[in-house]
Amino acid sequence: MDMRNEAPLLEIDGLEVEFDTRRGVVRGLRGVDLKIGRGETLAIVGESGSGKSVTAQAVMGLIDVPGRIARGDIRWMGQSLVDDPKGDGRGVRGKEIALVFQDPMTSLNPLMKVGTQIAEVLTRHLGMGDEEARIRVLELLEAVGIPAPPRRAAQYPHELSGGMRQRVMIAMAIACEPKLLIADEPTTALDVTIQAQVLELIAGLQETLKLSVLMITHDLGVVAGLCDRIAVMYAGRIVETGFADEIFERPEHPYTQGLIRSTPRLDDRTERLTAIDGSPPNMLVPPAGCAFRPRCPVAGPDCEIEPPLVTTLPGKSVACWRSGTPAWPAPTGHIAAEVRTSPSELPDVRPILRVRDLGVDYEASTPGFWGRMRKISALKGVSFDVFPGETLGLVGESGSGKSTIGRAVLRRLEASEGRIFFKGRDITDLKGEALRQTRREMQLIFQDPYASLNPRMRVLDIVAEPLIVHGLIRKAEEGREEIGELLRLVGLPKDAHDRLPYAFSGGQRQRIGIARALALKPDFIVADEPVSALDVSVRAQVVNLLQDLQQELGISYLFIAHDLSVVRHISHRVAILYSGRMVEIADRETLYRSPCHPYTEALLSAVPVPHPATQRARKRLVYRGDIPDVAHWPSGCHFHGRCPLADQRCSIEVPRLTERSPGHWVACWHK
Amino acid sequence: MTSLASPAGAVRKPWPFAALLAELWNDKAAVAGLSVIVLLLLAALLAPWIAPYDPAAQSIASRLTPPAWLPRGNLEHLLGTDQLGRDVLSRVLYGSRASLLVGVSVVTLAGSFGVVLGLLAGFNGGRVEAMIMRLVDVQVAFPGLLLILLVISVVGPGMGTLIVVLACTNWMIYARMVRAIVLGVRQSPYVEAAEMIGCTAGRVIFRHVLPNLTSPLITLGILEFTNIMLAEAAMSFLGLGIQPPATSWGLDVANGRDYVFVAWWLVTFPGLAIAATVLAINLFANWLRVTTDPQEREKRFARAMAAERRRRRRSR
Repeated sequence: MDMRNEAPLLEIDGLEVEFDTRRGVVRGLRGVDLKIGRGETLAIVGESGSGKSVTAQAVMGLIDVPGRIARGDIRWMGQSLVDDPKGDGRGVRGKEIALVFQDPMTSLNPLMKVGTQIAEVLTRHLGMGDEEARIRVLELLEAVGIPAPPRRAAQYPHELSGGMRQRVMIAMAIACEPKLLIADEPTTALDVTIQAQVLELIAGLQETLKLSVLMITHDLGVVAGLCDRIAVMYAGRIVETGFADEIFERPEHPYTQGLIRSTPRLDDRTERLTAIDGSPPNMLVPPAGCAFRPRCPVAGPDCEIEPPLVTTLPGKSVACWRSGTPAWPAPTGHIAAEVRTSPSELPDVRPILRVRDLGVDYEASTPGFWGRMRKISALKGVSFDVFPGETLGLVGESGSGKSTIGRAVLRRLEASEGRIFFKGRDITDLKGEALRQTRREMQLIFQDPYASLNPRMRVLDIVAEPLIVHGLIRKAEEGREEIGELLRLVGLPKDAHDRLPYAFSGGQRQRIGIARALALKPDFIVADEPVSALDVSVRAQVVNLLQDLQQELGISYLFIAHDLSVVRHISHRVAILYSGRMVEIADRETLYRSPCHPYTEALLSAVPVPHPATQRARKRLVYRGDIPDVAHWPSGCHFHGRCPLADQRCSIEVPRLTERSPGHWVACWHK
Repeated sequence: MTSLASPAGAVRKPWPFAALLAELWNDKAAVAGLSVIVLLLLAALLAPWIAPYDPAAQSIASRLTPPAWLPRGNLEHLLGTDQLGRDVLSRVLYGSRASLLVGVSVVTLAGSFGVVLGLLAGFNGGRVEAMIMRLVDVQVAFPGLLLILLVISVVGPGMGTLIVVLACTNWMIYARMVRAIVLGVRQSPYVEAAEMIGCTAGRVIFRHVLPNLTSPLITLGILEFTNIMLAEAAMSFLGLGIQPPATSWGLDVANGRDYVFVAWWLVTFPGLAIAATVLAINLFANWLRVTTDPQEREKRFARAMAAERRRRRRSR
């Protein structure tokens, strides 16, 4: 018994996966070694293209054209899954190893009731009878914390919320009582409070079912509270692996050090994030030697030889010639709240943007051919100011209306009630040329740096377009000098002009988008989730750039995000939204130190802190229930269904924002 | 489009024809299709020079001569002659001109009309879109043949009429496709970005939306071309299309209909020409569709690589 317990459950040995593309062979995995023991939770942490998901796919046998396993082996309790001519390993995948995907909507069959889908797994893999399977389905739904299982089992996936669907996926995965659960970014598509619920569920199941878990994620915070061991991947290789506490406390590989340092933390604040320069390598032509060398501050000539993964401490291995060398300067110290005063506290400053009682309705048609248009209110009664040179962070989960506010302020969406004043002028009803001229002074930075640049236009043409359409120059070539200056300002290489967007990495594309927004010299920019699509190591670069630009040019930002840590880092004041209403607004320190609204408290406690000891010690408020659907808002306070303080009044009357202390407004009957 | 040697993202590099041709060479069916298309184009362009006879020249003396390889056949008429002694080979060569001319004109005409309406519908939305798309529905629901019969019986048959009428009954598919793509592209952040920086609607359409339409439109146009060719043949067969003394494959099939049992070559050769052309275009269009879709193109490449590897392993 003991002997068997010591043998690893899953063993990956020198695994190499290659992808045949027209431009050459992309080396997705370049020799991955990994072991997972019984009951162990291992996290693979890495950025996009690091090979973390490819590793999971290889284990599940999901590598398909254009990919292929080139070398190496995957063994399940000693039995090879790669070299398996007799197909002995066929029963392992799906039964003993189960997988939970990132997006539960695309991996559930939309035309099948969820109960039937889970039952299908049971009848096929375990040969259960229909009645037996039906009872087991209800047990499983109960086990993953779905209320009223019989009712839910009879529903279709689209009738469930994202969090519920992920629970169904997990129920399906544990249906065959697997020994290993692979969770590929299981909470990335979910909101923070729902993420907390799902993480708690996985941790609970692991304990009760004695599961091993292989967690794949880019988010260090998710890892911190949940995992025993961590493997950090970079460019298709594992660069460092060890116990979670060890990795967070004493990261040895410069990449791991940088990754931890560049992640903003909710529980402390440094003046400036450490940014890892450059971007992850192109795996078509991986750099010779250590793949991190071009971005590494302590790289030397010896790094031109690829360092092997060497065990430095019991249970810890690092692939670096200079492991343990401090690679990044120490953070510039924690700064106190007083240091950066918000411009809103300065006397005699008039806001650049005033929003009063803003409401936005969408029109939706009721089902059926003759269905009438029905108004769905996405936003109601929102008021706030933005002062010159200030960043107002706008935080909320999906359906909170944060993007709607951004679009309404820029007049991309029509406000159905309320007024918007820009520089003291009412712009709510501007049209045509007047609106076009006003928009010169307010711009938008987009979330997706891939989709927001026209793939067929050169960088020069993209950045010159605003100047051309406003008649400042006639041809892109005329503005070459001015645009060169803009590109320099956002930190793009000199030769960027004549290249197409696809030649740039995500972070660089976001810089192009920022240069375009800056071309008309706006005073006010709406940044709609500007860093959430970027890799962790690149995020810090863009956040720092936005801060520098504000210092240099005095721009005001409306910074829309769901990531509370980034918002804390960049904002002067923060507003919290919950399903279309503003529930709290205050200056940053007040809001994060002494949140008042129960929802703000829940939100803050749900954000995982990328530090295992801290994360374990934190008291977490995990509130049950889902965010209400936009089309079916509850009466009264929208949070009353999930709020522990709610009473009858909360379900009838809508609380208005009232000032609790100077500048701190809260909409709650109880706090 | 990038070949291995070119630096990533450099603009204005020479069009990598060589790489494209190598890719085409891997798909033998598409190569065959393209060859037939090229031959057909040459035949149509050079018909006056390569055709042995005037297609309308009658010679009662050599009526219904069979093709050269049959016992009664002779080398003067390689594919034989028809009931009026006209040379079948010459007629097939000249017939390609009518087919191509009608096909190209109809696709251009119907395409432009459909694209404009599709752009209007997709871009404006609301009432304009509702009106245009209902118009499309009505036109789709209305039997095309009936409309053609009606128009031709009023105006009288002829090539011009045929082109206009076929265009009128075939523009809807373009409008629908363009509208669908425009709706998708309109939602894309880069179009929103263009509007944010103050681009006018015209600039947004021409600089940001239209370029996305080129490759699907080319594929659709080529596939539609075969439909139009078949429609032209059918119309001419019914006597509503090309009128004698002009020639067309469809017309020839119609003419040969009464002689099927005595002179099979009258219907066979023009019929074969129609079938071969349609098949060739479809084979080529299939390759083109994959080539213009970056994702499909990568998959095709990887499959070819995997097949190559298997072959090598087996031969070892």
